Amino acid sequence: MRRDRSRLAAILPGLWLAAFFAFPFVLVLKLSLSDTALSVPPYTPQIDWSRLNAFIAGLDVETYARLVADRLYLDAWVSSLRIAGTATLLLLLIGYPMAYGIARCAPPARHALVMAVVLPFWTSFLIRIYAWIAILKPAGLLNAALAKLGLPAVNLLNTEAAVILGLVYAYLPFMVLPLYAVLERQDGRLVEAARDLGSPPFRAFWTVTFPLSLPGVAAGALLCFIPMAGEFVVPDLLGGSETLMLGRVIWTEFFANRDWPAASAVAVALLATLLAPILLFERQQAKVLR
Amino acid sequence: MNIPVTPRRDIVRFEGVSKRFGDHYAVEQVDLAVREGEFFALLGPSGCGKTTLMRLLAGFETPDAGRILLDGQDIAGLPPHRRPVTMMFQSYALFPHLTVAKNIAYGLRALPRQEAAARVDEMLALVKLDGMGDRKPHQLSGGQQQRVALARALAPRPRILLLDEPLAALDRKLREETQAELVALQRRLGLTFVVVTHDQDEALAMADRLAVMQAGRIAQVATPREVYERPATRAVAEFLGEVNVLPDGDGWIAVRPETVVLGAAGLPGRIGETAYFGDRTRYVVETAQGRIRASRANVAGETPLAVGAEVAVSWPPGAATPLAE
Repeated sequence: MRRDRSRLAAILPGLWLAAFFAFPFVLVLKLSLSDTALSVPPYTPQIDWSRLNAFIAGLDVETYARLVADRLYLDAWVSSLRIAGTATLLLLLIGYPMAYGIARCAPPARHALVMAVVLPFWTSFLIRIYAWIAILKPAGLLNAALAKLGLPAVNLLNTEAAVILGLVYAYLPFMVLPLYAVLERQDGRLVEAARDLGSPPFRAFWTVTFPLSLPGVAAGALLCFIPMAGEFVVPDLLGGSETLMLGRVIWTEFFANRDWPAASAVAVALLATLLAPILLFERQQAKVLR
Repeated sequence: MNIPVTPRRDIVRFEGVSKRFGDHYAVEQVDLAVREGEFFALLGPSGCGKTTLMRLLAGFETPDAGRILLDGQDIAGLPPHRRPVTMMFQSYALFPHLTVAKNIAYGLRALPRQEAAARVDEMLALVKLDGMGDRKPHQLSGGQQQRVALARALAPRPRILLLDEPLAALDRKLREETQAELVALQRRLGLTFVVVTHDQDEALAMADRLAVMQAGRIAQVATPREVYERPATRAVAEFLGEVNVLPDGDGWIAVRPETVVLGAAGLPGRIGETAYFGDRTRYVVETAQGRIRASRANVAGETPLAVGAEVAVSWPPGAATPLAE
């Protein structure tokens, strides 16, 4: 009875993954191997169970060849990874001290601060990013404040810097929370032991606290990097026309160019790129659990 | 085994030390001297301030009042990493991400690499963990972890080693072995050990001298035998083993059950309860002065007394200790 139940518990997430990840992915993969066509839907071949051989013969990797040949896609891929990477680094630099500070607080203040980290989720993501437009636009709040201080105006909106700023803002909780979880669990006696054995505070942090928090660093970095690399809303609202990110490329191919195979191929390429860090993370988690 | 302790100079002196947490005094007006090379125990129930006193010496807490002198120098302002004092934590606090060898080498950063490596080997041999240097702490048994913690604390050659409930996490059999090993090690190294414990047997068995603490204050500082046989206060008498506290004129006296004689002459009474413990039998005698506990060794050929038997209770003149309240 119990064994049946535990098996059921293992099957359910499997079914979930099959229904909402594997099946759509197979559709996308199939789409990426199709050709564009002036029809509804705008691609061939369609699945025809009676002529399966002809259907399979109709699939090809021509779209992928286009992706490699056209600089635009490669540039978008490189800049997606660059922007997501830069934002991840900044998130670590900002999120780590925040998580560390919260974890070091006494419980009532600590819980209030964790609440404060989560609080922005109560407002729509879209509205919060729109608010950044109001702050960053040429006659926005930022420039008004700079003018008050007698400083020259800056034009941030529609630049890569604005995209990175928006990403860092939007993803900060996803960095802080896993780091906090790891730091809060850490045994304070370990740092005391390091101090006792002759380490000044910073060295104790660097040789004990930090290495022991690496699982949290990895979790936070991946939790942020992966969705940021495919992010659409932030680059679309805060970025300029020269800020190319794969999320936007997929949108353009799909809705503007009606090139469904190209959009699908870009999506598959993005997934393949992100699979490496995901697998790395999985292995690392397995190691921690062992 | 009463080896006379030759008077030695004080290595640590607490002078009027107080430490407050909120409006609660964890340690209040403590004066205490630990002598160089002795095995000193801080004994008391939990919450009596013994751990705070140790943390003050390690540098994890700073006193609100008073001075702490190490070799005559006031160390109250020195952070823990600048004090020649190391600590073995109750939970051991081994660094889980470092190997045994690297744990032991952690306090040896000031040494050249080769010298540090030699010291690590020396320490591994000292605690009988040769060849285990490459293991991670979680691959060791509790007893082995305890010895790594000991080796790590000894490696920097501290002036004083602090041991916080060093045997609390071990099972009973290992505890007795380890207790003897710790004493032997301390004798061999001639290092000053200060151990914090709530276990009276442990303190009595290991320490050259001990301080009994009660509610943030030192109740008595003496050798184990003196503390047991001549307790200064009622609280000390009652904390250490079983004791009869009896009225005597205006004050009170303490009489240990094992010194009580059940015979023909003395205070008349009747056996109320008996409990057989193999090597000895314990009795509760109802007398006009109240219930008096007695403990008698079971000698071959002698029949234990039965409940209801009429006896006379007495004790030798030296067995009664007057108590300060």
